[in-house]
Amino acid sequence: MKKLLEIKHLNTIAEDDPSKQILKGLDLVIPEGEVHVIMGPNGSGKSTLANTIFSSPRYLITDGEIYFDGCDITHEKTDKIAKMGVFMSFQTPEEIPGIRLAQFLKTAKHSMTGEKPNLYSFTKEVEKNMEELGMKYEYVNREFNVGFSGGEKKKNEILQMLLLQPKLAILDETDSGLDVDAIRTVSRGIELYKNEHNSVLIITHSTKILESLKVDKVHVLVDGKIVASGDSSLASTIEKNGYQDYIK
Amino acid sequence: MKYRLNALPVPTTNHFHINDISLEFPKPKYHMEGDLQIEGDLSSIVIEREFLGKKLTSKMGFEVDSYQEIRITIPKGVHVAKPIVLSHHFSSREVLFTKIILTYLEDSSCDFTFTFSSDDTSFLYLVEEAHLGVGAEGNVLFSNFLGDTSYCFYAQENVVEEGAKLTHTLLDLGGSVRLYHGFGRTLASSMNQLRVLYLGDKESTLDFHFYYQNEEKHSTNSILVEGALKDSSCKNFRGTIDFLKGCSSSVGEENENCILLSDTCRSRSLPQMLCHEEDVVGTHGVSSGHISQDTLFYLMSRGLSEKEAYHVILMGNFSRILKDLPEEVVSQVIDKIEEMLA
Amino acid sequence: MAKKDVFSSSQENIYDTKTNHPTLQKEYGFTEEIVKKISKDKEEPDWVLEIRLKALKKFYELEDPSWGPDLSFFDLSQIATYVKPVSGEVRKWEDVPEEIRNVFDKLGIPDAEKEALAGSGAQFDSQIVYHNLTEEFQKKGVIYTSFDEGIRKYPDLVKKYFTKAVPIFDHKYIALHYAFFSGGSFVYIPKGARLDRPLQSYFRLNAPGAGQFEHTLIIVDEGAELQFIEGCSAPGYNELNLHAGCVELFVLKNAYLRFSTIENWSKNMLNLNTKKCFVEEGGKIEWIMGSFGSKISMLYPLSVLNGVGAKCEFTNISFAGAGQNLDTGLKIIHNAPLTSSLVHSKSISKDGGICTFRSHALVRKNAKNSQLSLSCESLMLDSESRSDTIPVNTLETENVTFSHEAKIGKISDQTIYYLMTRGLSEEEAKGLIVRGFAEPIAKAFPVEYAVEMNRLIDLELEGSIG
Repeated sequence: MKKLLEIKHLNTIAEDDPSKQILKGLDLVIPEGEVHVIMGPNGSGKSTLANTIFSSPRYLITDGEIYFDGCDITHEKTDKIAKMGVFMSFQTPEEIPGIRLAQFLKTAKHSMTGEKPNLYSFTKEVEKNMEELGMKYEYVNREFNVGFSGGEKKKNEILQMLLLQPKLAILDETDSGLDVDAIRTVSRGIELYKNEHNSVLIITHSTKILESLKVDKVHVLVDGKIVASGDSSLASTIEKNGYQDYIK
Repeated sequence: MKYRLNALPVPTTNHFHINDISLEFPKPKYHMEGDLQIEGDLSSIVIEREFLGKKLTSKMGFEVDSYQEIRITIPKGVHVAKPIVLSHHFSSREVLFTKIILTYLEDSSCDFTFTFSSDDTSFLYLVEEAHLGVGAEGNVLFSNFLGDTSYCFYAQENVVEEGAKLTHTLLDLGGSVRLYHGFGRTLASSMNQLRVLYLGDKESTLDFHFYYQNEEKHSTNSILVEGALKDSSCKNFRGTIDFLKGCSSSVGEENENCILLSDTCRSRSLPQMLCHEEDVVGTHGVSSGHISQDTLFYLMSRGLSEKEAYHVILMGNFSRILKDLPEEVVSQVIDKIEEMLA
Repeated sequence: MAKKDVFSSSQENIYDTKTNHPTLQKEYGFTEEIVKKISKDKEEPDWVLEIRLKALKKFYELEDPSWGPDLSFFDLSQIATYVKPVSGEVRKWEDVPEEIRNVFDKLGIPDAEKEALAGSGAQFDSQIVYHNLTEEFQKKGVIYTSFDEGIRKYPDLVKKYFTKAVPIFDHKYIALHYAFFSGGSFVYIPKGARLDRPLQSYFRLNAPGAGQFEHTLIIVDEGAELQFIEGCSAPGYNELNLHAGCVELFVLKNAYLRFSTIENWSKNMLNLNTKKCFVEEGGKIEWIMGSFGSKISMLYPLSVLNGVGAKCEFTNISFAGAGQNLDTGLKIIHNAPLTSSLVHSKSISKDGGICTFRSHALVRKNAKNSQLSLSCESLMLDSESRSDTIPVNTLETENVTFSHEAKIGKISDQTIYYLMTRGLSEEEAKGLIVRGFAEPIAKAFPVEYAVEMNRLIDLELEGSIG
């Protein structure tokens, strides 16, 4: 099977505190068409992993490589990685005052595809997806995430995923802080997005979001390393026993 | 003599009446006597004093011909637990010109309290230079409890070196002419704070001029001024935060709140921010004016008279300064404020 | 004013259109002789000439300001005080000489007039070349003419208000203005008249090394409403140009005036402009300013709230790039009870540009129960630039609600990173954020002008960003 994402022996430190090693030789492979889940206790490096894949300036890679679709993206620029087909749903999405959601979506779509989206069909597409996610269409005229509730911000992230159609979607704690209905909407969004050619990496510390999703693999991340991998039953085990078996 | 004091280094248009303050008063004469009382645990610090017959100048622009100099050095690594108190109660018409040089060597810490009081007319000109070495920590509290017709001039200049922390607190509660000048140089990763509480009354003139520079990376300057004016008092406030080139990741904040308690007082403020560096966070907020009718109404519905309600709200503002001060100082300040407001 | 399609279809900088006009008559020097010649050319009454001569005398007595940008390098003797184009003032675009008409065509002025304006005027160098008001409003008694014609046709009205807002002796460059003023607009909106579309005067300084000294006088009578738009531009030359215009506004009882300016002088312009507005009981002035051009700008519109309940809203954005020093701001005087003012100012500086916000808010003793709210925000795009905030606030009465906030900062790295994860390059991300920063101000402009403003921001951002 084709490897979509391959991470080899990844080591990272925090930009503002070089003494702090976060990822310590992490290996991970996500084949095309699969849904993977990374679980782990707080501070284990889950969000760092997501942000490192995207070359966040907050983290520095000290060793290891990241390949996406066969290309080395270890030191690639963030926007290039996005253009190659990687997407991340942020744990705390930014607010951008003065920029309307519609304007933002058009701009993002334009830069991803390299061509101006057809206004009519794009508007229809936005409308349809917003309806699926239970977002009010009037929101397109609001400033980007300004005054949005936590749930609305997360739905906005999923909306972007649906519109931008990446090959790999990384969802960083998209379910955290959401109520049951909102989690269901997010799951629905993932279902809508998923097909045999794209992949999903879900980063979470709860199993709620996994209930309605077909998961191919679950990885346990503890202290900067993947310490166990298995099928979806691993998630249930962790649900029951927690991470104690993996913490030395 | 006519004086123009506390001038802005870069003036703005004269129409705004804030470039400096013009004052006229007879030249005071200092007789090289009268001494500051110094109390506290002096065993681990070094104190030198001498009377000097030469010019004493400061960035305030006021100049005199003789003064007493007090040099205090806190040796490396020494921590003085309780504040050192320098105080003076003026006799009638007494004049005092003093320069205090505080030198904090590496990793030392010490707090100082300067307290001045008088019953009627007195003249104080205090120039302070504080130098905080790497990692040092100091709090300097200046209290003006001078009599109604007194002159209080206090000019301080400081350098805060890497990792050091300095807080100046000014309590301005007496005198008819009160001038303050502060010049701060805040170096890498250091913190320089200025806290001011004032209450202007009668015909008093208050003039505050503070210029704090963020000189190096990760430096923090913070100016907070809480005050109120009653009767026919007039206040000028010039506060400048200057972000110099190279001071990236620095923070500068400046807040000035003034409550006007009468219809004949006047408040002028110039909260300046000058910025030569992109990667900084600078904020200033100024608010002035009267107390909200809703708040007053609420308090009065709880049984307070209008005047009491005013005082409660005023003290609420002042508590932002007072909360960090020792209890005995706070009770002294509250007594004085209540006496002034009565 | 340029329309959207003008921008999208043309890649060239439309503001930089130059003309050859060998037939130009330029006058140099600051002499009584020239003042008299200008006055005679315009067939002015004696009282106007008297003002000019008094002002000229005062000009020689006054000094450059002792604060703000340094003007000492500036050699006034190199400035042409009066540039007379060969044509007179006409009412039809077809009658404007082709060369001049081409410039305004490129700027989109005649198109804009057809589509969205109640009337428009166009000044080329020292002279108004075109002025027209739709018939509908002529019938309502609205007056919209060049200032020169205003003096000739409505002497009583002009005499009553002229120099009453901005005195001749205010400062050196206003004295210069009053000695050599030429062109500008005169507007009178009669009692209760409301214009549903704006009037627009466009000022174009095309001659190199020239000065423009237009005088605009607007009177909005009781209960009347007007939106007025002022556009300014000039092509870039090596010689310094000087703009010392003057705007006098009178908003009478319960009247409303929105005065919008998009200023895009070329980078060789000294823009030393003076604007004042008097607002009577229940009246409201709204200032909307976008300052993009000029080498040095010194401009601080003054609003005097003279009547009970008078209001002022002030919205401004300045964008200083390389070699620019924009010293702008405002003055507000609250001179009556229950007056209110609301100020939003934003500035962007990049490539060594200097933005200074300078203001004075004065609340007089009789301005009981007044409200003031000022906010200014500055965005710095690099460490070569400067951004200074110099606000003075004076309160002389207790019963007033006053707040002032200011922020200086840069674009957050996290926001840029976020946008880059969505496929935008760093430059595109910065551009988007800058436009977002300017958005609340752009919104205050009519839609065509918001488009122009965004275009100007794009022009400014070219080079360093996108």
